[in-house]
Amino acid sequence: MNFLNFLPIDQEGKINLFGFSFYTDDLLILAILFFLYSQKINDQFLYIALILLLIK
Amino acid sequence: MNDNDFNEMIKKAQSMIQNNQIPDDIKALVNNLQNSNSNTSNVSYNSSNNVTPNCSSNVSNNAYNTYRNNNYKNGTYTSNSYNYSSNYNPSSNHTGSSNSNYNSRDFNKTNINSNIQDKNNSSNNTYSSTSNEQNNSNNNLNSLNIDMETLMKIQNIMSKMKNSSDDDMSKLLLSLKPYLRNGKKEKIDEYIQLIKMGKMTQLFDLFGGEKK
Repeated sequence: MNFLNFLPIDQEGKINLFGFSFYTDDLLILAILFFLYSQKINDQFLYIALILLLIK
Repeated sequence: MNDNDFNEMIKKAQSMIQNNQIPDDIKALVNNLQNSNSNTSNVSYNSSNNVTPNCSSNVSNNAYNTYRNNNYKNGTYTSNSYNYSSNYNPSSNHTGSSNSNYNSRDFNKTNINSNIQDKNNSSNNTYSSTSNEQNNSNNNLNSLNIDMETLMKIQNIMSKMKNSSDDDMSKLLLSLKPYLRNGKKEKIDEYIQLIKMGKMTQLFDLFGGEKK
């Protein structure tokens, strides 16, 4: 059984959540950002790089 | 010319000194050469007509520097008993890196004898020595004016630049790379380089400078 069948991911790799479509890599980057912020990581350049990747 | 030839020259000069055939200035020069003969000399002679105030040790280097500073301003040298009309050529005829380089063609026994006999005549001198080269290299090092603290900081920065590829940020971004789209995969390396440059600017702030 494929785990991805439980997630609403289309062929392009987008996820529809609450009416919004997100790319899976964007969600991954957001999750990493949240994890780093919750762990109080003070690496400004890492945050900048992840945000740049997110808005690309 | 090897050391034996030079020793012969010194012996002849000593005999002339004992016979009082040469004035005090030349005696002093020969004594300097004799004292420095035991040490490894770094001089290459290239004198055509006259005994030149060459130097082969620290003592004779000082004598040479004094001679150069005091007497080459006008291009002529005048002592109590001698008249030197000298042409100094600082960049000519270095005979290599070997020590005790004396050019037998230019500085031989005949020249010594004839020069001492013709001690009241003025003649052209052209000499070069490896001591000149050493002085020039020392002056170049001093002119660089490199501070050891600056060198240590540069070394620290270089070591951090080498180790920057192994830091946690680069590892995280590179581990994230396979899960990104193709457009973002291409940007990962660029952002890593950009962030490394940003961290380098933080290191350069350690140098100080004027802060506005």
